[in-house]
Amino acid sequence: MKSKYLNSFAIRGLEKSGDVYIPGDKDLSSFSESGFIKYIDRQLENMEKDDIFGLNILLSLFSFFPQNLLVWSLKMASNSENYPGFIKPTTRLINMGLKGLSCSLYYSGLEELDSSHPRVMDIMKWNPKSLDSVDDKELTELIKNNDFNESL
Amino acid sequence: MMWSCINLNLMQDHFNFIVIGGGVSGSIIAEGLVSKGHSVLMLEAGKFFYSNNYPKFDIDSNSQMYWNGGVELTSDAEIGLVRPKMIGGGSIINGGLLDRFDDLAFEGFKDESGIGFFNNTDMLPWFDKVETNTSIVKVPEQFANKNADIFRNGFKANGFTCNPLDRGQTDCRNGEGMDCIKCLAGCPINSKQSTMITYVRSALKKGLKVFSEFEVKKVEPGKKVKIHGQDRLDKKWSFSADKLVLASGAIGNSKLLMNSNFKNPNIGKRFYTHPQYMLMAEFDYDIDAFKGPLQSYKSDDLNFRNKGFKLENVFAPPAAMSVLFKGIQQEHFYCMKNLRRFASIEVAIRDTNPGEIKVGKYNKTIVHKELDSVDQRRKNLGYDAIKNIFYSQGAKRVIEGEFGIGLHLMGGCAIGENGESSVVDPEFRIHDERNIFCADSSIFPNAPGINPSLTIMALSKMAVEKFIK
Ligand SMILES: Cc1cc2nc3c(=O)[nH]c(=O)nc-3n(C[C@H](O)[C@H](O)[C@H](O)COP(=O)(O)OP(=O)(O)OC[C@H]3O[C@@H](n4cnc5c(N)ncnc54)[C@H](O)[C@@H]3O)c2cc1C
Repeated sequence: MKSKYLNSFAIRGLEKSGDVYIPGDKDLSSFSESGFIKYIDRQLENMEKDDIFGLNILLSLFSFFPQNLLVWSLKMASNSENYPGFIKPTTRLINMGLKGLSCSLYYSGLEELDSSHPRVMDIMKWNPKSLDSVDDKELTELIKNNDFNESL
Repeated sequence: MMWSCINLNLMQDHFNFIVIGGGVSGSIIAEGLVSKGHSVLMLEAGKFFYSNNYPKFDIDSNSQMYWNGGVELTSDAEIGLVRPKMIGGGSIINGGLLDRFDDLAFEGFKDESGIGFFNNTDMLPWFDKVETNTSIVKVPEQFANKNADIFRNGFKANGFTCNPLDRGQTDCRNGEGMDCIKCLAGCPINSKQSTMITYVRSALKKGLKVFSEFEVKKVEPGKKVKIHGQDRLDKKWSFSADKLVLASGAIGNSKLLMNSNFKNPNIGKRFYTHPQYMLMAEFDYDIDAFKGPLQSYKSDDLNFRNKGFKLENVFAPPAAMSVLFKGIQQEHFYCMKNLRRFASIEVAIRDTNPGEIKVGKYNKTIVHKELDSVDQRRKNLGYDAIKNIFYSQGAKRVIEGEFGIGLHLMGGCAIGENGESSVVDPEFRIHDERNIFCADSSIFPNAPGINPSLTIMALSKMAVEKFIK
């Protein structure tokens, strides 16, 4: 799997840390089994360049951690309430950033790589309904005629 | 940096007015100005999203409809700031709750700014004008879901007062199966009264020109104001206008003025967010908080108001809920797998301790925003009330969210009589600038403790009259 934004070590690091938040069970696949990582570029598309740079470094480092050390590290990061000075915001940032990345991929209702698995949302029975979207032809036309971006 | 002034024959480069930011305030101001026959260009960093192209998956709405891929954390990583990025701004993805300020909120504004029109009598005509153009209804109680029932019954059991929410919507067709949690990424049936529906459409018909996916980087004051920015292909453009309206929100305006070397030391200061904290309660039956209206009730309790907090029944899609649940491994996974069994209530506090917006290396947004002891006490009082509500309704346990959320981003360019302590004057003009104006959320001098959109809209309506005087 190739990404425009993450190197191959970072991809591995994200899979491993994703499994810490989403270990899976008899009904649901773990983060790495789900294959949702293939959508990572959609998620990182509009992130600031230096955040992506930092993410690559952190996740590449995590790719070399044995899984139990990674679990321990993320457990420490998720219990940061009483840490002193800059350690608290830094560990909170790591915890929330990695949880956000893996969980957004996993719980967004996307399709798993191996589509023989039922969808995550089906198993969670999380199925909000929507009526058909309005086809707003008038707005489509107005935008076409008035937005300079359309003629770039 | 050199900005080339490119004038393609397909577009003009000078306008009577340029509006930076196409959100709640920018839409209303642009519509007001084109209606009076002015040539207006709206420059907006985000895209045009409407019913034909709202993203279907949270991963896409997060990355495309918000700055920096979803959430920006404050410097202590305690509050996640959510900053919309699209034509229509917050009104496309917000809860749609539209409340007039009460006397307490206006008194707070008046005391802080010294401005006389901050009272319900002077503001009344402007609220009326906005409300004739926007359908505001009580969220129909017959469709309230179990999350809302728990809120209402818990209020009753504890002797608190709550009432149905006032929301900008026409008919959400919940009876036909529409679940409004979807409309956090845009309302597909055009019921929610986003400013795209209520103002932008009409402005486009009257000749508003827009440049979407265009980020303004710098403004240069002068007899004609110059605006420099960049399109989605990273190509640089310059435009000029007789008058400029800043409507890029609390963070957007503050950053823009700082990056343009405006020297007023008040820029970026007095930043408020009504920090919101969600508490989740597990029940031993399915709540299915995604059904029907997303939100139905709010606290309407004078006691809460005087103590500086309010409560609303609320929920969010799974991807957003997942970051709020604490812990790792099975502890976290269990909550997500059993999300249907959770109810949620949020406390929003009327924050008193101002934050500050700064620009860091690589143009990074840095926001310092902490709760002081007063704010912390308000939060704790809200937590106590929520826990009492949940336990009175049979909750098995209550979980506090991992971090606070900042949705109402206000201040940074506070309005005030006195140029020594504010950025914008009572005519909505940047102090000492002849032709640069602002009337959006950034001018709030403090936190009102009430949903801000309707008042932003009313102030923007009022501002248009002043701009064209
Ligand atoms: C999830 C959510 C729920 C909310 N719910 C409610 C609610 O129920 N009721 C309520 O009253 N309020 C609610 N709010 C808050 C409300 O939406 C905001 O207060 C309101 O949108 C602020 O209006 P504004 O015009 O100041 O800024 P915005 O609506 O945020 O618009 C600013 C626009 O400027 C653009 N911009 C910024 N910088 C630049 C630049 N450099 N160049 C070009 N464009 C730029 C942005 O992309 C954005 O589109 C909610 C907000 C969120 C995020």
